[in-house]
Amino acid sequence: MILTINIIITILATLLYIGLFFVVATSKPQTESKRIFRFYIMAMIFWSVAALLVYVDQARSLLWFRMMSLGGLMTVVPVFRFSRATINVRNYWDIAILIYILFCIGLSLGTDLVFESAYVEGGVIISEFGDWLIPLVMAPGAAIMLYSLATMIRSYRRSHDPIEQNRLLYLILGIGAMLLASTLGNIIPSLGQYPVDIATNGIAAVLFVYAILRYQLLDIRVVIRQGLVYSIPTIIIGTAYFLVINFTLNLFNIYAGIEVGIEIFILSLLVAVLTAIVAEPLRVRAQRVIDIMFFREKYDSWQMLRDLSERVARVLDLYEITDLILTEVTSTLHIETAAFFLKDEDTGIFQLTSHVGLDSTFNTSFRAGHPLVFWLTTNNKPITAEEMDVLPQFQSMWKSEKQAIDRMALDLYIPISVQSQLVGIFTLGTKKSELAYNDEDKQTLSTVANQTAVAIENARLFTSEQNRRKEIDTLYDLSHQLVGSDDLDTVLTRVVRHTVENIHVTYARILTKEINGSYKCRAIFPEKNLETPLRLGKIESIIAEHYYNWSLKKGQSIVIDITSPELEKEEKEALFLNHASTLCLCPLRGLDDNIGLLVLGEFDIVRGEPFSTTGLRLINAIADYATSAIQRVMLHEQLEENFLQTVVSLANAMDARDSYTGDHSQRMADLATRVGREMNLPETDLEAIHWAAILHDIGKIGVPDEILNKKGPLTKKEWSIMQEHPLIGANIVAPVKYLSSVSPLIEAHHEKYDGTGYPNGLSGEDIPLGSRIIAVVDAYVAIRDERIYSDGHTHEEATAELRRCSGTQFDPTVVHIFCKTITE
Amino acid sequence: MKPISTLIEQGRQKEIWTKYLGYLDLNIDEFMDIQERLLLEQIELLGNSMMGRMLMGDVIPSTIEEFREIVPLTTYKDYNKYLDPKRTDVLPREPVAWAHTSGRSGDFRWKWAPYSQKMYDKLGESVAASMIMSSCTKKGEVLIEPFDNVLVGTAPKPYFSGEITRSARELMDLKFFPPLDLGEEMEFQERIQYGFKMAMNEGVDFFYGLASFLVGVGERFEKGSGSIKLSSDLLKSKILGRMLRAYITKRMRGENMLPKDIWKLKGIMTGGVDASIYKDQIEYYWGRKPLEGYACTEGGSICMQSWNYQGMTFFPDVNFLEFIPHEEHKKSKKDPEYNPKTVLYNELSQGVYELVFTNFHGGIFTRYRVGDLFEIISERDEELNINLPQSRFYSRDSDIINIAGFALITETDIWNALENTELDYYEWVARKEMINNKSYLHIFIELNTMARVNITDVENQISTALREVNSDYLDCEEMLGYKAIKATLLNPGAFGVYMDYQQSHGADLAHTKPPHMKPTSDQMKRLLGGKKVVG
Repeated sequence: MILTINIIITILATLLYIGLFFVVATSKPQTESKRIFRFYIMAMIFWSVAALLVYVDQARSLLWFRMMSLGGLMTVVPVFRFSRATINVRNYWDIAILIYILFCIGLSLGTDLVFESAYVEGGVIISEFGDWLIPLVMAPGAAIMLYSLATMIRSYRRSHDPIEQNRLLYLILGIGAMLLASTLGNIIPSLGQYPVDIATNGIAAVLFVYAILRYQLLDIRVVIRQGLVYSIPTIIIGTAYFLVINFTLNLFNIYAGIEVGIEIFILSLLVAVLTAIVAEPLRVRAQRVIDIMFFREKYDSWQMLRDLSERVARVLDLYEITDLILTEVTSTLHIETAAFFLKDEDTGIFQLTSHVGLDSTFNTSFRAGHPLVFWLTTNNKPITAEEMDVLPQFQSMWKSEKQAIDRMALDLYIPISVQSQLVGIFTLGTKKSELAYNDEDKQTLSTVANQTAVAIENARLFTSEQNRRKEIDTLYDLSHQLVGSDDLDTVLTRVVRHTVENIHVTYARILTKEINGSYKCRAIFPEKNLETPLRLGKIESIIAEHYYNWSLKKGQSIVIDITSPELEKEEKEALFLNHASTLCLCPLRGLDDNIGLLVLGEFDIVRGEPFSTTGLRLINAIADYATSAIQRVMLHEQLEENFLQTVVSLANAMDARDSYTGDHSQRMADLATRVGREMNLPETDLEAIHWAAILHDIGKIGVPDEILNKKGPLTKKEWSIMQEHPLIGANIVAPVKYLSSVSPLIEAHHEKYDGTGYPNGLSGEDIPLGSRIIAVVDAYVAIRDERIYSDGHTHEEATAELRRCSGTQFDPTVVHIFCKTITE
Repeated sequence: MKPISTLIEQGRQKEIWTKYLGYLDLNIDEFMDIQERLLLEQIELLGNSMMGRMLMGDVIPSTIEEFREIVPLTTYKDYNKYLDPKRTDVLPREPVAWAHTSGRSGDFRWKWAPYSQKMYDKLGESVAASMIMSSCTKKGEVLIEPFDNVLVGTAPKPYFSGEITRSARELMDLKFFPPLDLGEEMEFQERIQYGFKMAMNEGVDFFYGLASFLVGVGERFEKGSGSIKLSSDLLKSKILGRMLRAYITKRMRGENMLPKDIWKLKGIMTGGVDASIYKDQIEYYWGRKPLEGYACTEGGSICMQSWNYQGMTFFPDVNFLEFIPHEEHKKSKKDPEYNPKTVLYNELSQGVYELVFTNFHGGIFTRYRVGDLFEIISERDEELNINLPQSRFYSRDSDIINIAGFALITETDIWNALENTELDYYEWVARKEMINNKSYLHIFIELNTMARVNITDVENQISTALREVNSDYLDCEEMLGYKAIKATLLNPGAFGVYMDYQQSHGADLAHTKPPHMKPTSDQMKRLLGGKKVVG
């Protein structure tokens, strides 16, 4: 037997198939795909042995050729079954396909309808096919193979698992190669002299075995792309080499007239060596250019590492550093998402600090006891999401923690440690190539984390220090502003204004909890454009109360994001999430009770700010300051209210003590307010007049009863005492801030328009208008009322008296308006 | 394809092992970390539910210590009012399944337990873990494969064993014999026969069920009554070749075939007291030792053996585990008002403990006394390098017979003793009886043979065997100065008559046989054919 190239390749193919069969048969466990594939390899062994026998036993070439076709036909069944298995379809067509193949085998072996003759000539198989080959055997067989290929492509498209997709690509490539080889063999008969089909089938079988046995496969696209582009310089150089030889030969023939012989060989050799010497550096350079163009990932990794550590060392801003690293790493390694979670010193929480590619409203953190934090602290090496899903330590993850991690869809978590302390977590999402992170990637990224850890930690400490300073400044300013006011509305307004300006939120509101459990909006900043939509002074929707109560019950700030899946449309509206994308509800916690809430809304959340851990700490501090100030003001107001009530009680007591009718003060207040309103006085003035009318005679508390109720004329001394009562009254009321504008009215209510009144002898416009009104009203009521010493007079008599004294005792304008307004 | 099958197809056996059996590599601190974290989650869930608040009281505990201090120990009567009518509105998480007990349920017809989705998933995962464990011979070896054949010898849903099997079906591609939906429509015997027939045709990879069933099949084979009859069905069997080979080999040796000659089981999973009694016999008949596990309706899967078939290791992520030391347990038995102290898993040392657990993942049973006792046999498994306490099932609390105040005799003790005698018995029950102010352990036995047996010889045999398996009993006899065993031979067929009566009166599957330990007077009367019982 002469060992021709065809025989050698056929023997090698047979050995290859036998080897593959043992590898597949002995690997554990025996899965469905391996069982199918064993059948496939057995068919291929049969096929290659038959092919060998075609060459070796040439006397019976036709028989072996037909056997060879039998082997080929038998491969159709497992390929079909295999493709169906990839889409999890049980095979109801298996039997039909098997019957058809058996029919074809019978037809091929038992008749001349398919193969008429086959023999070997010059080491090449010469075959003649019958008329039924194409319609009965080849076309249906090819159709089944094409169907299998299409099924796998469909399966590839459906799959979302990059590893599975890669595996399917291997299989698709294998089947495609088999189909291509058999098609080419039929289209170009001259290819029959080369063992193209055997070689292709062998390659396909190796691809299949590799895809089935291994889990983590090389990226087939990278393999093909790399193979193709690496061959470009070789092709160029080879072409150049050929052209140079050809050109030199032509020159040689034309000008020297030398016959082609040994000289040509020597010359070719010489030129080849020279070309190789010249071209080699070019090849190396070309390959490097290709590396840079197509495989930046690897090429740039070391360069990135070198640059990054230098660059981050020069920066002290935490966000700048983390952004820099994220940008470099994601662009160099072609990663879509990445993020930094850095430790908050005070809380121990790892807070999302910077990120690329994550949802901008995303805000999550890892608590100190989180299994991920615990694992990274203990092991100090990267961990993948898949490992987290498998390792028992992560079984302690809460459902909410698991959901947060799933939502982020990050693939790799790398510890950032300084002096064995975990200070941050560097996390990365899926690579654009959709391949899993290999050890080399992990090593590179760990190096990035290690090299930048100190810089990050320094920047973190620096930022932390800055934040603290900012907190102190902010709180100092706030306390300074709040101390200066005892008015609740002013305090509330200052708090919301200060919060917006220092926390940098879109708006701030203060809601107070009312006695009936509802919430009322008491302050908004900025008021412009928001006052009406955010319902200043109005009761909040009952739908929002659940969230407000939740925050108060928890006693801590809660952040509500518009993207939260739990939020209903009505709830978003009730919480005014149309005016912000994120809300922070911060309870105003008093010593004994919750006052209400400081509500902050922000549209643009960047790096979790302003509602990061640091932000929330400052917000809480502001809330505490505000609560303290509000409580102080409220206490003050309560004191004033109490004082006022005391004063009113005194005034009532004075009414009872005096000889007026019981509702004297109240009637005066009504009349005075009516006159004031007729004069178009502002509400604040009307209120002052109201209180002044009620309290105008409170100073009589210092006048003894015998003077106050004396029936006869008062002595000079008694009159002198009596004249002190406006001043005493004014002094009683003066400490009450709320009544600060009332005091002057009381003091002047006995002044006369012509300047003959008391206690200061003021005249005309120098007498406060409110006092002038009260003077008229007081006189009118005194004339109308029955007193101890006189009967009451009619309205007409009273107004006549007022008109009589108009311009002397009373302001004529006031008298005029009074008489016009008060008709009975 | 289901999750595990996909991993197997992809050759990721290491991941499968780590995911389902990685807990064996935990150290005690890591174990406790899982326990504590999941308990804190559970406390939060309980705090948000009506029943949880009812169990925990007004103050929601914020630490493990507070939880153990504030929350009282509970029994099923604390839950029955809500669980019997299957009220879902009071639970911490919406249940996806309800199961009830299959054993004795005390004062209740059933003890119902709800399962949240996560709890239900955990049931399936524990089956996966036990399948891997029962089939492996070394650490990391995963021999389960997609579409393995599983012969199921347990009760259907809504029994707990039925639910756990259903959960496993959702996790793995398995072929159950009989198929679960079909089996649920059948009576117990029919189901077993149907499954066995399928096993003859298709082969079996795993068995999951009662150990006594496997022993029964093995015995029938050995005696020749289980030999295979040629039928058209048999000719279609996928294991025909193996059957014929075994048949010829055994015939040539003049032996009867054993199940292990026909089926090459990858694993056997059993639970219950009889598992440890029959483990050697099962290995002899079926070629593999049964893997023992402990699970209960209220707590799901609690613990299981490792691949050396020694002590059981508790699962860290199913329940929060507490243990009442035996002395404390005895004090609380004497005084029901006494609040026994518990210890945690990391505080266990060798000895007997009563199990107390709190469901994780939104379950409802909180500091629940299931009524079972475990013996901690070692603080770690030296052979397999497992650094977690190893345990064995000791007894149901209600099944312990106390002779003369200090000899505690369990069902396992008596069963083991009977196995060690030469008695060919069919079934037995045991009671404590007082005769002339003397304590006796009275054992009622139905023998397989009709031959005349001397009752004194029976008592002597049992006494000798019991002295060997229970040292307390040995001391007891020596101190009492008399043999504290009484034996009564039941009429042949006594248990059969009893079971027929129970079935004809609609008794549930769990109650067709009398309990081995402490049967009631009514049960004894029925078993003795109307005769009155002493004691």
